[in-house]
Amino acid sequence: MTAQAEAFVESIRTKFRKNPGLVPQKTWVAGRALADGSAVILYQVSYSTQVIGRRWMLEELAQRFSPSDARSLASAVFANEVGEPDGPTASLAVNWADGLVDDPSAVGWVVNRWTGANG
Amino acid sequence: MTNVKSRISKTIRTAGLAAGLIGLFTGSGLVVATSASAADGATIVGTETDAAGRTIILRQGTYDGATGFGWSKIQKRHAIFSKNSIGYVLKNPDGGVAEGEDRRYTAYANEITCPEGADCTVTDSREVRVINKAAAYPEYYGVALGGQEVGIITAYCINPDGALACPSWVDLAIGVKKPASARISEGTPASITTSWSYEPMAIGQEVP
Repeated sequence: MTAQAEAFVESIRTKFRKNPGLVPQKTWVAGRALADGSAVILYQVSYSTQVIGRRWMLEELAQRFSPSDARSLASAVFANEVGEPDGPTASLAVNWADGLVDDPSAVGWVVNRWTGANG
Repeated sequence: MTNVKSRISKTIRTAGLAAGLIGLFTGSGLVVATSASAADGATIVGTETDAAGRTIILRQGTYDGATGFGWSKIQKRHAIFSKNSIGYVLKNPDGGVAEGEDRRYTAYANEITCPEGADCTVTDSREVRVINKAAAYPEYYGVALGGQEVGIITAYCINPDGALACPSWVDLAIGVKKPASARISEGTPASITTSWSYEPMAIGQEVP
């Protein structure tokens, strides 16, 4: 599943470059696949200095889609989640952004089922 | 005050005419009359033809408080409650912009203030977007689509602070409630109305 997460992150990064019109106010910063099979991406928004983070558990995400390969999952969520207004974010004591930015603790994580910010 | 009323009246007449011409989702013969609570996520709740002749569908969709798609998400996450708002955006003469398997449509809701004895100016403006996914998926966000086209996945405002919800006046500017959008009363020094456009309007821009 880590390979799936890596391919997912790469696909999202590519979409930031090829389809910037779908992610208004947002600029790619970094991304990574974690050993637990999750995918993490970070981006900057034009209205704040805070780096924003999103995390998906690929195995669980895949259960909600068909097809469920990494590229299809990235296509499914890019405009519909990444490109949208983010809504609430939370500061979390996690290591997901370690090595990706100078201050990982300052990342604001978008609230969803996989950041644990809303349970 | 008379001039202000006259200008607003003119705006309202124009808006009413536009709303009638657009037709939009609620005027479509393909609209399925079903309550949101009873609707299956795959149910098509609206259909529209864009400026290039493409048929665009809106499904009931689903929303879990953070993710989802379709009409459920558009209402609950982004506070757009008028299908006419979505229909107006889809009618952008540019036919939308292709973005991979998605197509992005844009319009602008504008708030216009008319001080008594002075020119009307744009006092707020929001870009409103509709994203359509013309690709077919057997399952999308847990909703079985049977390999049919997904349709509109989301619609939202680009707010200056990144907020999720569109301001309430956006539906008034673009949506079916437009004729009631003007706020004016005797004794008030200024009136506020709303309009729409397919080109951005600058804050402070004078409106004839």
